[in-house]
Amino acid sequence: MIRLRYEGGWLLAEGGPIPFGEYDPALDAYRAPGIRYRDVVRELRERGVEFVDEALRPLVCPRLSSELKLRDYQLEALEAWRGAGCRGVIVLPTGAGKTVIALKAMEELSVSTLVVVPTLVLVEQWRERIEDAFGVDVGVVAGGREGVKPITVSTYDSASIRAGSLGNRFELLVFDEVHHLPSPTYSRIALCYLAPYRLGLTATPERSDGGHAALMELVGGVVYELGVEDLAGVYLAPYTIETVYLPLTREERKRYEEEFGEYASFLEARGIKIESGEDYRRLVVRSGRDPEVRRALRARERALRIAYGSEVKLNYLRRLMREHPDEKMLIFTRYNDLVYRISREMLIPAITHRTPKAEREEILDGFREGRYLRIVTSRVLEEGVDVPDASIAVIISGTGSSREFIQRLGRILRKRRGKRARLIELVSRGTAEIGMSRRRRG
Amino acid sequence: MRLPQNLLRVRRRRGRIRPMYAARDELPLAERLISIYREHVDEKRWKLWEALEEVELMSYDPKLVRGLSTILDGHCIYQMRSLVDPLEARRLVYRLTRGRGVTSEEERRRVLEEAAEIFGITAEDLDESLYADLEEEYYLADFDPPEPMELLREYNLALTTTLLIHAVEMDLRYHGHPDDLEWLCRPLGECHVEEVGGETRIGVRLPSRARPSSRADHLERLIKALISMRAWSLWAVVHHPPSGRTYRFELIGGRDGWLLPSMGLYGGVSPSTAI
Repeated sequence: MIRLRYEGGWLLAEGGPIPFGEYDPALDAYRAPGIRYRDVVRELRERGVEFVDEALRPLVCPRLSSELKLRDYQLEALEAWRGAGCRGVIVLPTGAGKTVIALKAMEELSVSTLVVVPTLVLVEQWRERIEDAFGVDVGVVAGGREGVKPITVSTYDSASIRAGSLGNRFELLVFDEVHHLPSPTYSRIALCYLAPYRLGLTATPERSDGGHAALMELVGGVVYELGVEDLAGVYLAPYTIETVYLPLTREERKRYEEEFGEYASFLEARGIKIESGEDYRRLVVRSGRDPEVRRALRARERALRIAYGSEVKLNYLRRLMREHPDEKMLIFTRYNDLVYRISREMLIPAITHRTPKAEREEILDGFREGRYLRIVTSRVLEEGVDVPDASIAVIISGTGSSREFIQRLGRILRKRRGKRARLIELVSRGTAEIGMSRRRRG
Repeated sequence: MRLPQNLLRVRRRRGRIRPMYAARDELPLAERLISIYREHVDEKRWKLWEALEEVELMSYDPKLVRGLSTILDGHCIYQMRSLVDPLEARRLVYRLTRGRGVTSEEERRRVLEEAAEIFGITAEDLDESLYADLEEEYYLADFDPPEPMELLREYNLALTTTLLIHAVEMDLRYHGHPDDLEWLCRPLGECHVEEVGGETRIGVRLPSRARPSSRADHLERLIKALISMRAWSLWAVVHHPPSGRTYRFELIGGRDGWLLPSMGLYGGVSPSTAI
């Protein structure tokens, strides 16, 4: 009789060959990638082969129920995914309610689910949405946290690192911003996990490196797609939100790893866990007495500075400026040093809390009257600052901004000549862990 | 001189409060900071800040480092160095880009050169002028270094003033005439004066609502004058906002005087010049 086991991201079969399996003499077993689990089981059943399945050991999920109602196109999308055997990618513009589709899919299946997201901010957002919808406790595996529950949210980084131990505990994988998945590190998640059901969500399935072809293999193909044009004016806010994840340059990456590594290894050496803003605040308080904490925090700050001020982001900004020479563009970052750097390098008027009132008014007037088409600022949303409308807002953040913050910024956008206003957030890829302890505005 | 409240270092014990005065063991730090300032004459202020940050990362209390540098800043002259008015320079370059900014190095250079020509300066100088009005771009133009021990004493005086900003009541005693200090106490609040065998006692009741900055000035003047008297002491009830509690504070000339600057009579102020 064949016995199926899960080990280190592999599906192992002892006692006989399995479809898609290769014989591994060292283990004296046949092995197949975790992703093949569903096919293997299906084939074995069809061939009438007897086997014991000790591979998939899903956490027991309670029956989920919610009050969520889907719109027509969301129902269609869910239908299409179900029709494809509960595998595949749904492409919808930002703001069209991808999360709610995923929640409905989770409710219908009511199986153990791992939701994989790119940033810690999104981890929190998903956790809240799931808890609100179903009233269940949600586990988090991210940023050093390790709380596995039948419904768990994780970052791509953590889900990839923990594939060996988590890969056989979930039946459904939900990939938010699934266009990240085809990278070499992250595709490990799709390859190693056994989960037979997989749902990918994104607004932008294309990857420049052609990785979208890989999505077909990893999650299933695109089963449903709607563009902004299909929904504009009916369901969407009057502006679009785009999050652009950009890599660091090789040199920046190296420096980032060094600096952040210094901070991380300090925390590890001291056995300090940063799991909330409160933990971080305590650490800052300790820095007053402890020079080592000061040095670690300084290293973290330098890492953050590399992430938010990446040359790749500034080049992206330059490109946006070239592509929209005549549109009013508001560039926002909360880091004053970056405001002044952009102002100096790109010769754009700057407003920070240090800008004298007269100069601030002069700049805002200039923007209102169209003499200035760009402003770079760290304080558009504060009271007493009346910011004229823009058709493009660019947010340069360290690791992602809160939803509320983005919405507040969105309110000052106006559409021009029938085109929807755009809110573009530039985030450095692969630096998400740092965002954890940063207190966000909003 | 007073310090921002967040740089006030105190010890509280059994209803008493006392600033953590800098004593002789802080002399090496004082010397180090003074030489850092000295080395940064004719440098931009951000370079000085970076050097001070390095010191903070060592095993010193950052509040002490910042407190001492606040005092040293009082011995400095900072100066904006720019050939043209930075605001004018910015206005011009923004206008030359037609409010669109620039997206390449060549474009930037062209705009700067054009603007520089209008001002009659070089492009490099113009570039330097753009944000010469930011605090960190100011130059440390002149530094009049104090003796290390004097630096610590000035710092201790500033700590005392900063603590007493939240005084509710003060009681001053010294050998001398009421006229010596009473006029300095009046602006702080209601006074009660007594003379007992050559010793003057002045009780001051400080109203809770007063502008901290003007109170600090009055206090500093008073303390400077007090410590130049003979056989002086100061007793106060002080509110400690972070804990919401009230503490007793005392400073006695014979015991604590060496921690504070040595002043001439009236500590540099006299009734006629200060009124």
